[in-house]
Amino acid sequence: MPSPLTATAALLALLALAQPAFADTPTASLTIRNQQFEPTEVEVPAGQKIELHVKNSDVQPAEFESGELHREKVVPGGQEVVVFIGPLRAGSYEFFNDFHPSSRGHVVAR
Amino acid sequence: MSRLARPAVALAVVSLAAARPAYAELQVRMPQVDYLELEFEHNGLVTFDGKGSQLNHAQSYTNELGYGVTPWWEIELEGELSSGGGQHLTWNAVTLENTFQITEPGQYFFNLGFFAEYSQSTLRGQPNSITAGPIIQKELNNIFGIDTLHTLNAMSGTTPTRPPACRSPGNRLRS
Repeated sequence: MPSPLTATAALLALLALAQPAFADTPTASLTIRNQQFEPTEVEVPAGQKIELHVKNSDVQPAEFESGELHREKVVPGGQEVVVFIGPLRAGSYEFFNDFHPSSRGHVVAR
Repeated sequence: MSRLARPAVALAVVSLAAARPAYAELQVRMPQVDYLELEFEHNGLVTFDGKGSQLNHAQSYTNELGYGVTPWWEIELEGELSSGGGQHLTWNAVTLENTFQITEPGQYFFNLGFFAEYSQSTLRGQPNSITAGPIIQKELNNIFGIDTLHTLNAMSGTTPTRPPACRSPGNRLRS
């Protein structure tokens, strides 16, 4: 069995080689303003990996979270993060702000 | 553990767990960091074996306090207690664990992280130890309508009572 350091180095090399393959990943954007998502519905293509940019315009941190998308990520105040989702079957997937759970929206894959 | 894992059906299998009376600290580790989240984690393990065996009613417990310091680094302070069968629980070690998230979940073919811990024994004559290794995870979505998460830990360490290297695979159905 290779040492952990060797295995990690090999995986990092593979990741570096794999990066160009995702250069044309479709993107979508969300903004959190006044603790609400804008827009509340984001349409994305089904069957493809999506690069979702989540920007927090508020001072307070927020957390993009979705059990259906298997993702949770803190978005510090005034910053933007990238969340990779999918490939998704056609359908609607709910997400919410875990620091303000009444703030909700949907990713709709078509 | 991530809140996303709560509704999931966990089928974690930890290998090589029987070499010592109990190993509550042997667990499948995830390559993700929950930035800014403070977490408390408790693990417990009780083993059952034939009467008179050291493994019968042996216990092991860990209590951890962790925090996501940056989006890619989480640190945890852990206390370990254990006992052999019929013995009192003793405070074994204080451990400092570090999880490094190397890739964004779903960005590449694998999710990759790295784990490193230093364990300071609190028992006289027992050595301190270092354990480290990569965490490799593969998400498989919509395979026959099922989402699954497969995680492999490949750890090496200096603890003399454990194997020099061990792999801990974990497989989880996601709902």
